[in-house]
Amino acid sequence: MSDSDESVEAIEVRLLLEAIHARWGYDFRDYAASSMHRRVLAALAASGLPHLGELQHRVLHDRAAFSDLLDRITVRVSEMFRDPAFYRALRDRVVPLLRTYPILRLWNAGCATGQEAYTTAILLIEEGLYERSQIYATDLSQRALEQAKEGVYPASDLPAFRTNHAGSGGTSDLASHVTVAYDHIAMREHVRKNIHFFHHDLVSDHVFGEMHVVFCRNVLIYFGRKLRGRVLEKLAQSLCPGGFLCLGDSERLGDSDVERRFKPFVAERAIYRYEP
Amino acid sequence: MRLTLRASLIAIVSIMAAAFLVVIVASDLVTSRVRERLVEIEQRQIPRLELGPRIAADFAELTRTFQDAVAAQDADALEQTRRVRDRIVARLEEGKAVFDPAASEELRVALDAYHELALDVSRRMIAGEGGEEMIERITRMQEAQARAQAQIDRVVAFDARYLRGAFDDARAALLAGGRTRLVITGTCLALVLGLAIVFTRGFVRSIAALHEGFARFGKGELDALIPVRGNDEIADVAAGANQMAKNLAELEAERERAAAETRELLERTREQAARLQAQEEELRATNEELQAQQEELRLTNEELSEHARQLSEQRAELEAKNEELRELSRRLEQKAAELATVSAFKSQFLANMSHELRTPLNSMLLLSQLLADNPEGNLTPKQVEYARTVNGAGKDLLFLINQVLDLAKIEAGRQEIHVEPVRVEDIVERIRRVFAPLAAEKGLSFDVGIADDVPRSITTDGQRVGQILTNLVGNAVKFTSRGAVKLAVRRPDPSVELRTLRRETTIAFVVTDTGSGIASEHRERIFEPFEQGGEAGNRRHGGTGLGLAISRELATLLGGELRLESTAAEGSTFVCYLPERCERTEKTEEPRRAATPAPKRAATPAPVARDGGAAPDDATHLLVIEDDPLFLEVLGRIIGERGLSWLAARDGATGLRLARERRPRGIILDVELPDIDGWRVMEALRADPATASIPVHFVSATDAPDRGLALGAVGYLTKPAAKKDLVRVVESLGRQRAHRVLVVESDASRGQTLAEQLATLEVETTVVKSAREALDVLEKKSFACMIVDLSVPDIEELELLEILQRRAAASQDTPAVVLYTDRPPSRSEAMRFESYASVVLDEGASTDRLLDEVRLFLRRLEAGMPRRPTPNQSVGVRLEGKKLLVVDDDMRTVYALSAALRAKGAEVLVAENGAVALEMLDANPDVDAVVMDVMMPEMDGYEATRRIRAQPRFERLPIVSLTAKAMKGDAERSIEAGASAYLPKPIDADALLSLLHSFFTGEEKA
Repeated sequence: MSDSDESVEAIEVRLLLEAIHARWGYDFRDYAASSMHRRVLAALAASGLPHLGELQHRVLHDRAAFSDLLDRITVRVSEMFRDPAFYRALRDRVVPLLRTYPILRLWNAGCATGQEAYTTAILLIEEGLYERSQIYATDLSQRALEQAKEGVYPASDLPAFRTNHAGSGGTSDLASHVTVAYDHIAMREHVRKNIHFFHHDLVSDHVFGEMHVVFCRNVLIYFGRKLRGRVLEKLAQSLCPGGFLCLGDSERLGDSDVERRFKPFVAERAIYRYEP
Repeated sequence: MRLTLRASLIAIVSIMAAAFLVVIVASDLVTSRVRERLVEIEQRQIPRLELGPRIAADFAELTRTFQDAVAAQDADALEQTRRVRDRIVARLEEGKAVFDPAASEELRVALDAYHELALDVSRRMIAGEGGEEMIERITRMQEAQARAQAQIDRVVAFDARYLRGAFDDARAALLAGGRTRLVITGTCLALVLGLAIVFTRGFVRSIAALHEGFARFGKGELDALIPVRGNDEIADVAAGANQMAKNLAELEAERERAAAETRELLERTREQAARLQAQEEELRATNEELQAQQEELRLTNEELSEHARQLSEQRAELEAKNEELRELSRRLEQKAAELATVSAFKSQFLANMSHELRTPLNSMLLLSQLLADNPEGNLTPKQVEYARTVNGAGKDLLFLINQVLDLAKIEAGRQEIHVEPVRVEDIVERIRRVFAPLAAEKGLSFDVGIADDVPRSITTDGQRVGQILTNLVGNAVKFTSRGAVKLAVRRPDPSVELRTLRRETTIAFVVTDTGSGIASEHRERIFEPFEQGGEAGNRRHGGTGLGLAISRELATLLGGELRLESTAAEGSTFVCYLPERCERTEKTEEPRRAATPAPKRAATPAPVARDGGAAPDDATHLLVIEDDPLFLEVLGRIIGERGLSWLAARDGATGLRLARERRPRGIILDVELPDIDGWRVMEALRADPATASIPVHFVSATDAPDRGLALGAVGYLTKPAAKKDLVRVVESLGRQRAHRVLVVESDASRGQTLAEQLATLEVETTVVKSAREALDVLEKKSFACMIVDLSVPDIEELELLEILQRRAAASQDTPAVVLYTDRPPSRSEAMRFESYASVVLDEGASTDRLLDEVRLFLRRLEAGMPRRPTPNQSVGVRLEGKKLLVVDDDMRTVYALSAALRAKGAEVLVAENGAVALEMLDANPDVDAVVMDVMMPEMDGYEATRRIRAQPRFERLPIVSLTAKAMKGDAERSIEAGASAYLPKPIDADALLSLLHSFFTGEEKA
């Protein structure tokens, strides 16, 4: 592929993102260009359409096609108690401080299909904090949210779930939190009850409350530098002073103005504390 | 003709129908005969059966009527008999169709005969006749009667035989009909069956043929066509099937071809796969190569890391050398300082000397002059000559001394200059006046000239310029034995390179002579003190050799420069370049001064307080514990520039002592100190209550910020540090930090503990035991922050909170509140507290949390951030008497909004979600407006709005919807749910206020 071809494709990707923004309000324009480029091309391949122009046409005219594309370009991996070491750190280092709050609000930004929110819920149950907690779990994909609300996952997830749970220092019997039937595991009502799933786009929508903990794990990596700064600003506004920001294991904050307001709390697990 | 299947079927059905019809008709025929018989029986036999007895009865009545009439002797009654007879006749007439006509006629005759006779007999008997004739008559009559009776009996007699015959007839007819029917039905059935067999045999054969054909097709024998028989649908099907088979055969051929192509394609693919395989091999090879390269890279890497190690060793060496250099430079600095001291001593000495020397010299000169004057005339000429020599030598000595002093003064930077506008002409004229006679004396010409482009007046020190020119012209006259001396004032030659001056604003004073000139090797040295233009000319002309040195210093002092532009044996040309406007006074002096005092003072072991001027209090602002004088110098300047006073301590012990004694606002601490290191200093500072709260910022070449911060430092800066970072450190430390924290704690020991913990946060802590005390203290002083123990809340504490909450709502200057409790509040309580305070539960990490809250809050204060977001206040909006319901789970928003709304006089109710909002509306139907967040747990704002609107009583209730959602369609969703208006988050309180205002005043909203 020659350079000029590549640049034409880049133009098409950019136009597609412009079109999506103009038509549906979702703003992917400031996402990390290379990753977005790859994702769009993958989505194109999956759609079976011959070229991006065609895809753009479809996406402009057909909501379902747009939803498909949205799923393709925002798909995220998620599993219960993913990165047990992180949850262990959360349990050992953050939870003692959370105990001192009479009410806890936690925001799972970019919750995908909900595993992380349920994981947090189970952890809080185990730590005896769930009764005073409210988890807000948001994502920009309606489909992912539908799945998340159902809280039903294939039973094949169960072994990893168990291992991770044990690795996170989990104390309770998982069977008490999930129902296993018909090759699926379903979150029980006492796990689901304090989670509020709703649609929220980190890019376009605003802050909606003051949180004690914000989970934004492996989300910022998809954003371009500028957008990342903007979103971090929102996360900062969403946290109470001394609140915690949990990023993905490989994510680290730099030293821009907004990033400096977050102090490493458990540096190796990317848990930061908001100290304005 | 085409005998279709349908037609065949129709034919069979028609034949069957016809046969059926025949059967029906036949049976009808049979039954009709039977019916005829029965009708006959009914019509003929049955009436006969009825009429007979009636006629018999009538005849009996007739007979009886006769007998009665005879017995009664009533002739008239006989008339009755006629009627009876007529009735019988009528009945006979009636039964005419039934009865046998002959018998019936006979009966009528017999009846008439009997009636005639009986009438006659009866009359006669009534008339009383008798006799033989009578008896005969009676006998005839009786015979007639018997005949009639018999006739009646015959007519009436029940003809059983006849009836049986009729029935037998009917039965026979029935039987015969049944047989006929059977025959007909059988015949029809046989016919239909025969026909059906004939038809179906054809179909079955055709269908079997079809079936076989299809079976053959199924087996793939597509050329075995089905024989087409007849002209019916089956034939069509067969034909169609044949066509299909033909098509299939074609298709098969097509498929065969395609398969062949596919095979070919496959073959090609296989080839490509092979090629791919080859490529893969290549790739693998490349991969291996890459692997190898990677290995190499790893090797290189190791080498590199080896290099890096070496480098780091070298760096360490360098560091060591640096350290040595630093030490060296420190020593040099010291030497320089010493030198400067010496120099200062020298200047001082010389200044003193001038006085000490001049005093005796003065006497000497005066006395030698007196002697030389020889006023009494008692001295020999020789003695006078000696006296004159003494006086001359004294004058030379004085000149020398003055020049030495001048030079010393200039070098010491103490030469003062007085800059003012001076006329160039005046300067030149003064020189001319002095030197014209001298030159004339030596037979030299002396020319003076001022170029036209030279300004009339320049700004400089005229006296010093005169001094320079006197020197130069004096030398010229002195060293020239023949020829001319010239002084010219003009602009510099274009060819001349000026060092710092700009040609356009520079004036050159040019002194030219025709003397011996100066050899090039002496050119530089000529300006050194005590030098003269070559040894040869030395001493011959006398003079101190200081003149040019002084002149050059003076020229520099005036912002100009002095140059020699001449060649030996061609005379000399000295040029003094001076700026038109001398601005150099301070600049020339400053570096000289600065070079001496700062390091000297910093180098003094004793601390030196520097008052940088406008310090608001007497306290020293900053303490710098640092042993590097250079760094101290730099820091000192930065601190001074910020108007802060400071102290320097060059070792830890001094630093600690000064920190205790002077209680600075902040300390800048180095780690490497001559006596005790910075870490221990830090620990000691923290251990001493007097210094525990002083913020310490490390600035050190030791790269260990974690350790520093762990010890409680406010920051850590690694050397070498950029100036801006140092500025930041100085500014943050120098800031006033008199944050006061109020602790409301009834348990004294706990209060003490809290105060001790708070001491680490550089705050002034006041502990009170009760809410009442707290209020008193709050009246007197203002506090930044307040910690209230709610563990055992009494009424007063809750009241205190109420008061604080009210004040906070009115945005007065109230302290931030941290509530501390071991009794978890209820959810609604917690929500309420949260709107104006931070709540800390007494759990494991509560102390950390508590200190974090205070620390973070104070930091925000220092950064100039508001304690809590406060809305702007819209002017002119009044909401007095309005009852508003704010529904939001975000307590920040609730706080900000309710504060803004209450400030405008509204009564504000708060609900944390939609469900609670509905309950509250039920309890308070008089709410004037609702402010509704859309994103809430339990029941969201859309749903709540919908449910409110569903109630007719709230149909017109203004509902303002708030949302953080900003995407397409989000606003519409709110309006669809029934909101009256929509505002995006973060909420602009002003916008909300004016919106509500417009609802209540009925204005159209903008």
